[in-house]
Amino acid sequence: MIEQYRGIAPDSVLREIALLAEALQGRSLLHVNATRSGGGVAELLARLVPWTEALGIRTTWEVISGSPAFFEVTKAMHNALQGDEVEIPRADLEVYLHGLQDNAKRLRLEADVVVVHDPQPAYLIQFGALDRRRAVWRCHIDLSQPYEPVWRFLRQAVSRYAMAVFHVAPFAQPLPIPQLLIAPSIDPLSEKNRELSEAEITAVTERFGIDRRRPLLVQISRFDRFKDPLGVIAAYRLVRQNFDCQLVLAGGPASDDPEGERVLAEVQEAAAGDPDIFVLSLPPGSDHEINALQRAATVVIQKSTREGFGLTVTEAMWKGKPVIGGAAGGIPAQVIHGVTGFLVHSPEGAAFRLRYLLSHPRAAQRMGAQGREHVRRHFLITRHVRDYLMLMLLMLQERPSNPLRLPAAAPSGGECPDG
Amino acid sequence: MVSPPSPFVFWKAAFLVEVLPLRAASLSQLLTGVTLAPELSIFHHLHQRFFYEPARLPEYPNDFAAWADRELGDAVVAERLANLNLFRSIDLAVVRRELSVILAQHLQEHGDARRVAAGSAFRFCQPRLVVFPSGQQARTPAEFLEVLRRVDSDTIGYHLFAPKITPGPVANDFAVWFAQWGYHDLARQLDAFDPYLNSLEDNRAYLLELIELGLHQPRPGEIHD
Repeated sequence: MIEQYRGIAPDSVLREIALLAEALQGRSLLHVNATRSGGGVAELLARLVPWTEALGIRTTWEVISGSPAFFEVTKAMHNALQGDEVEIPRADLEVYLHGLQDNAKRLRLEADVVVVHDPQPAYLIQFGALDRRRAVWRCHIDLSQPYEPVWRFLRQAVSRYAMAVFHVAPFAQPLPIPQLLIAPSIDPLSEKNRELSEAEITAVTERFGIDRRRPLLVQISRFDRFKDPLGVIAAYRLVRQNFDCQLVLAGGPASDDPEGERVLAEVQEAAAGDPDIFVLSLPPGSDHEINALQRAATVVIQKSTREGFGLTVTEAMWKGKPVIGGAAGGIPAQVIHGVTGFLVHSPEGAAFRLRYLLSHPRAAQRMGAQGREHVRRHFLITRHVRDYLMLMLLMLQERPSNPLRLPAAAPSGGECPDG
Repeated sequence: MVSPPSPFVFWKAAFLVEVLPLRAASLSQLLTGVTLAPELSIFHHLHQRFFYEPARLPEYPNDFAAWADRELGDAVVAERLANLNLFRSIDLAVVRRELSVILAQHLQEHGDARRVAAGSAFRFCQPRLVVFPSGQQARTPAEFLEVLRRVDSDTIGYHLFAPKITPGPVANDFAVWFAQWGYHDLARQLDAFDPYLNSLEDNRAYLLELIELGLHQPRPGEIHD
């Protein structure tokens, strides 16, 4: 696995992975989340699990199941934790708890380190199915301003884990357990991010009727109010006063997001009558199309008002595109304002920066190149794998020390025989 | 004949950031945090920007200064915090005292009227460090130059900054090694060089130039390598 990434990821990170894996031989890792496909977490795990498995760490991935009513509650929790004032009646919380109790009986949740992703499965720890000394709660959502009653409910479960992990510091909350930060990542070899030929890109844009001779603005994200698709349309309309450009709003459904269809309908209504707005509801598995659309873009937009991390930003930067991102969640950790793109707070702000980038192609190209290097250094899956291995090492330390000095293992392509 | 020094082994550190239960929404709270935070936390906030953007020196070199300007809107204290002379501060206890003095003086002169919203508060963090052998070593000064050209910027940052978090005297170990080879002028120049005024990549370029020049200078009592 490591060799496949040589020449793409930094060599130093590949060497660190090899050294950490050596130190963790014979250990096991289990991930638990809410969905096998759709959404950033499932996508991330689909790549991470084979990675750690290939390194000799026995890795398993369990997915909780639930009724539509169960996922209605978890979606409401998700919205509330990202700041919406959503009251969740006690009866709904009972549906949620009973659902997880059933999952706790059904799932095998034993490993040296267990990582439970996001709020949906968090309460598994209440039902005795997890060894709390080895369990980590991994939060992928923007928890910076949660709706307090819902956070109070979730906090009771989270406090029972050994550790919590967030994407960025503003998401961390007062908790009685250590809180670490691990940024998510993209896989440069995946279908969504691999290099494409011009012919492959054009084949996709032609299929959707997109004119590659005119500037193309692209936002890829599921149809969710927090992604502000209507704000993107408003920004596009302001830009259209000066530039003959096109807009793509493309996203796919997730099995745990019942609200998506309603938002999609609103977006379609707002875009109706404009042949240069392409609202694309892509089926699961449209990674090739997303890759091509991002590569065809002149500028990529991710105008979220709340965001977990915003992996579509990472993907676009990896493709050398300047990004205009909402100053929310993990986006400011990726978009260095004025260096790799711009952070904005309104449709007007987005329109202003879009006009700048469309009229300064060299600056746009420079920002895109800087963005790609920033991703190579911080947001590729190799760095993510290394971080998970470090997390495992920290969790399994019998006598914690900081710094922890790793002894040299067998050489792995370095030039120092004894380290 | 004097035997040559041991090879110079290049190390680096990777880290996970731990968010501590210390926050500051005002300058007085920042002062409290600076007083209470572990030394590793102070180290982290003074150095992490160099590692995050190795090719660019950010507007403010440390997190305290950047927060004071961008979130608190106090450019004066931001400049004072940016001007902290880390190069000449021998250890983190001294650095903590200097930070505290800057903040306390500013509070005395300007008061503590500014506050930020909870979401913009300064979060004290500390690194959970894992130190790795980089896989690179140099047996001779010429090899040192070769290795310095190709190691990643984190490795350079480790050798320039990590002495502050390891026990013992604070010294640039590049300088110590060249002194062992008898390049005393070069060692003095390496020890006198301030790495806080450049990005890590600019520091690499400067070090390469300095060492290349230094190796052409005569040295007393040459060691045969």
